[in-house]
Amino acid sequence: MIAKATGDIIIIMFLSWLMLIGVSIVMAFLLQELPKSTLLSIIRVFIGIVLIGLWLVTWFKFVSFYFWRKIKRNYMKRSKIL
Amino acid sequence: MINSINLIILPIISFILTFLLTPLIMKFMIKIGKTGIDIHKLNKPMIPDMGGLSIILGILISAIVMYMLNELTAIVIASLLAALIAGIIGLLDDIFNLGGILKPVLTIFAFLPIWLMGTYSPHPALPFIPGTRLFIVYSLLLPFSIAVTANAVNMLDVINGATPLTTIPVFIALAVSGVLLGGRGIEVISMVAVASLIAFYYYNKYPARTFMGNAGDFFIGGLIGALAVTGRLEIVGIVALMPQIMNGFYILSSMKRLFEHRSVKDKPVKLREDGLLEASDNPKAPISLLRLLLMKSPEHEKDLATSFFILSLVSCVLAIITAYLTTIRLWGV
Repeated sequence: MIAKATGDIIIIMFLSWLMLIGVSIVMAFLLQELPKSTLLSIIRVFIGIVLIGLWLVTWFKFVSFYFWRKIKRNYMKRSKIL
Repeated sequence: MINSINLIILPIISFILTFLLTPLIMKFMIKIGKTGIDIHKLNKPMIPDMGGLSIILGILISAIVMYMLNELTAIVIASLLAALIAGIIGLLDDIFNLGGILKPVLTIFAFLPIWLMGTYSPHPALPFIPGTRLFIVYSLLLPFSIAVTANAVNMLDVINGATPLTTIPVFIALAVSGVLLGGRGIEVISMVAVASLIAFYYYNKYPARTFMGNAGDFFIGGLIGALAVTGRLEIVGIVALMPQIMNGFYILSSMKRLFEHRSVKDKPVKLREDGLLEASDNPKAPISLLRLLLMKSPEHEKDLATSFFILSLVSCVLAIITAYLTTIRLWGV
């Protein structure tokens, strides 16, 4: 037997992995399209860091929102009934 | 080139050593009174702690045999030394309780053997970008490589059997990715770690007869981080450790500070009278992976351990796919 929420976590993991691959594709595109000067190298790294930061924030906000929605539905409702 | 015979013999040695050493360490820990309460059981049994020392000894003795078989490379030596430093910090925490800030700060120094021996490359491969030029960024992030993985593995060790079940697939993913990408020299030591963890799991599985302890957790986490760096499998390591990273990231994001788990008053999980674990509905409690797994219904600890294993297996399949994607070039990059 496994926990009922295992499938939900697998979907969250898969979505965050897809986002990581998306960030990599954008970075690969930037590496190809932008000229290779020092200033633009710094800009590329900065864009990369911003993208990874956005990815982490989105990931946490999404999971936190999903978690509290499930907790309210499955635990708080049951507490009221009991 | 991998020596197939060593790939079989060395893990067997590691398995036997860990399997025989664990009961001896358990007896010793009971003798010196180093036991902990299994908080997720109704009868709150006292369990011998620091059983993970058998894994450290099993792997290190196997490394000596590797040296005699000419299998020990600079990459493996640097990785083992880094893991050993992390393990010693874990051991100090087991004995003296270093606290929530000093412990992660000290593990930063575990990267020193890799840095001093120069067994890393500042050109990490990312999906669709086989060789990046991130010398400055990479050098800045390198000290955190061991600290993050060691602490992430330690933070997920919250139920019986958690560390072996969630790290065995990671070592397998590192070994398979290493072979896929042309043999990075970390395959044998990865399989030695797998064998040792399987032997330890026999004693650590639900209901646990011994706890891993911070020494074992930090050594295993440190070894994963070190092998990922020295084997040029950084992104593979990150994806394979997704359950551990998710857990650590959610806990730190929800608590917004570094802390010692013993000091947390609002626990994320509660033990019910029927022996099942349920998620706390306290908004102040940290959001951990275990709490996420309990968001739909209360569960048995054994089922949660199985879920941890499945999550780790899925992340390791994704890690191996990621390893393959690092060999593909987009737009000629």
